[in-house]
Amino acid sequence: MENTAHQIEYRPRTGSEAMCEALLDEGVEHLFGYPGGAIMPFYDALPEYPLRHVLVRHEQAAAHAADGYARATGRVGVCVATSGPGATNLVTGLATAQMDSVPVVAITGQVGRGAMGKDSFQETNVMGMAMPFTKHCFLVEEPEELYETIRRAFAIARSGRPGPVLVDVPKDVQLATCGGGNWYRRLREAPPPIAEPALEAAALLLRNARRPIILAGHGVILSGAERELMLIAERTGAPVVTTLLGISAIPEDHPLYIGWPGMHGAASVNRAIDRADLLFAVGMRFDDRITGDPKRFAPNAKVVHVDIDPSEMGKVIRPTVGITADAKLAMRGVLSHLREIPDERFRERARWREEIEESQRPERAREEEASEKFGPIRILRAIKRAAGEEVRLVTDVGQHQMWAARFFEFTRHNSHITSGGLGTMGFALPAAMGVALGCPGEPVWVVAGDGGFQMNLQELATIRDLGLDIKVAIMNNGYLGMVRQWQEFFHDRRYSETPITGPDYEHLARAYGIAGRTVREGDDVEEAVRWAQEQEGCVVLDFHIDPEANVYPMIPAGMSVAEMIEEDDAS
Amino acid sequence: MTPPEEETVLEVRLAAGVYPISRLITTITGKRMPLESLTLARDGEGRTHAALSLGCGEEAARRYAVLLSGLEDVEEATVAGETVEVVMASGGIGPAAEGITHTSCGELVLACGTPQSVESWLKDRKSGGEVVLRVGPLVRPGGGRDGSRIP
Repeated sequence: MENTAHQIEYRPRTGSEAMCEALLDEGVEHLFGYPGGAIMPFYDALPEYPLRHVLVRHEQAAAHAADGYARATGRVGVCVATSGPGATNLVTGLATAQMDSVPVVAITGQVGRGAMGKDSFQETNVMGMAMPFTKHCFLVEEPEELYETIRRAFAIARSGRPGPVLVDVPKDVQLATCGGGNWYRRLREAPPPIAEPALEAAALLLRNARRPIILAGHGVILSGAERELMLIAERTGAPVVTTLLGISAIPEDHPLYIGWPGMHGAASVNRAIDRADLLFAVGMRFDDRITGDPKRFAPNAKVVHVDIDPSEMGKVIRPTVGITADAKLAMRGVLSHLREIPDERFRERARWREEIEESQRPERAREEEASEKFGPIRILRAIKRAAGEEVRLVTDVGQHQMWAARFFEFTRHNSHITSGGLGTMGFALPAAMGVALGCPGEPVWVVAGDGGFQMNLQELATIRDLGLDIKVAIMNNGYLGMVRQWQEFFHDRRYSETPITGPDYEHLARAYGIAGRTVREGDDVEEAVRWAQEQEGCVVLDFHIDPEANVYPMIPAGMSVAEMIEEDDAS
Repeated sequence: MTPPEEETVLEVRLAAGVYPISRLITTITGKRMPLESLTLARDGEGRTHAALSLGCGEEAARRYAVLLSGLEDVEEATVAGETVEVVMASGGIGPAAEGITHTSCGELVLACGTPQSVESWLKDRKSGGEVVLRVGPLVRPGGGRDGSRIP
C-alpha cells in the first residue's frame, strides 16, 4: 500500500511549541493533565495556543477523562503528565483504554537526556512500563522528530483497532530548537479489501440459519456501524444481543434487541445463545465474561466472527467464517451478498423470537416487581425518566455497573460508557468529565458504587471548577458489593475486607461546593432524582441501598449456562 | 527440561533499536507465547531479525505471527517453513544425510533441514563441532540482506 506524504511548512520553534502545534494540527481542543518538573517547558508554551487544558487532581483521572472524551466523541483523547510518579499514575488509565480499544494519546515529560539512566529525580522507565498497556509508545530523543512523532501517535491511536499511544519527551528535547529538516504528515492508509468469499459465506450462513443471533460488540460503536447492524437485523429477522461495551449499539427499545449475555447477562439471553444455530459476532472478542467456558459456549452454533484485529480470529472461539475487517465495511459487504430470505425461514425465525420472548416474560415480571421497591432498578428508571432519552450514563465497576447495564434502557446511540475489559474502579467520575466536555449541553449521569467513587472523588474539585453539569448517583451499600457477592456465593459468606466505610457524601459534596442529598429507603426516589436534574451544575445523590442486594443471574467464572445461578436458586 | 512435542519457528523482522526488541519480548511475555528459544541477529541495514522457537503447532504459531505483525515496529512476522538452520564452528560437514543440505563457509558449517532431520543429523555426527547458532532461515549471524542463504 502506498503512503502519501504532504510536506508541512517549516519554521524554527522549540520542541514544546512543536508539541502544541502537532496537537492543534490534530484538531485537539481539550487535554487533561497535571504539570510537574519534567513537563514544564510544554506547560510554559501551552497558554500561547488555543488548547483547553483541564487541570485534574490526579493523573489517573487525566487518563480516564481522556478515555471518556474519546469514547463519547469518537475523537482521540489526550492526557499529559510529568515524569516519574506523574507517568506511573497514568498507567491504569492507559491499560483501561487499551483493553477497551479506546484511542488516547498520552504525553509524558521525561528527565533530560543527559540525566536518563542515572536514577535521576523523578526518572522512571516509562517506555518499559507502558509497553504492555499501550498500542505503541515512543521516546523522542531528537527534537526534529517531535512534531512528526506526535502526529504519528494520533494516527496509530485511531487506526485499525484503536488504542492508547504514549509519547515520552525528555525535558531538554522540549526546550531545544527544532532546526533543519522537514516535517511530514502521513495520511492514513486505505483499509485492505475484504475477502469476497468470506462475505459470501457469511451471507449464506445468515440466510440459511433457523435460529440466528447477532452479537454486537464495541467495534460496532467504534466504527459507527449502528445503521448497518440494524439493516442486517431487520433484513434477516435475527435477534440482536450485545456485549457490555456493545450496549447502545442498537436502541434497546428496538423490537429485535433482546438483551446482553454473559456472567451477569439475562438468563433468557444466555439460554438463547445456548440454542442458537448461528452466531453472527461483530466487533467483539469473545471475552471470558461473555463466554464462560468457551468449549461450552454457543455449542450448537456456527460462528461468523467479524473483527478488525486479525489476532482475535480463533483466539477464543474458532469461527466457521472469520472476517478481518472494520465492522461497518464488513456488514456492508455481507449485506451486498445477502439474498432474499425465504418466507419459511422468516416464519421459523419469528417462532424463534417468540420462544425467546416467552422465556423473558418471568424476568420482566420480576423486574417490574423490583422496580416498585427502593433499590437499583427504581433508581435507574428514575434517572432515565428525569434525564431523558439523550442522557449518557457513565458507570463505574461492580454491582451497580451490572444493574445499570441490565435495567437502564439505553435508547441513544453510544450512550453507555463504562470500563469493560479492565474493570477499573474509579473510572466513572473522571471519565464523565471527558464525556461532559466532549458533548457540551448533553445530560451526563454517573452511577458508581461507594467503593469506586472513593477512588477518584478528588475530581469533584475539577468538576466544580469547570462548572460541569454532571449528576452523580452513588449506590451506597457499605460494601465492595461485587466482591462481597462472590464471598457470599463461593466463600461461605466470609466477608473478608469487603465492608467499607466512607464519608457522608452529601456533606462531602457540599465541602466541594456541590449540592448533595442522601436518599434512604422510604424517601421519594423520583423526587430526589428530579431535584438533582433540575439543579445547575454537579449534584451528588447518595442512595443507601440494601447492603446485601445481589446481581442475578450469575454464571460462575469459567462455567457455562448450565451452572447459572438464578435468584430463585439462591433463595 | 523435556523438549516440546511440537515446535514451530517464527521469523520476525523488526525495526532497528532496543525498544522494538523490548516490545517484542514484552508481547511474547504478555500473551504467554510458549517460547522455547529466541535468537536475534542484525541485518546489513541495522534491522533486527528474530527467530522465535515456539512450543506449539503451526496453527497457534500463525496466530502469534498475526499478533506480532500488528506491532508498530514489526515489519514482518511469518511462520518459517519446516526448516531450521544450524551454524556450527568447525567439525567439517561430515557424511551426507537425508533431508539435510549443508555447506561450509570457512571454519563454519551451515546446515539446514526439518527440525527432526537436523536433530537426527546432529546426533549422528561423529566429527563433533560446536553448535553456535540454531535459527530459522531469515536469521543470519552478521549477514546482510542478500545474505548467504543456504540453498
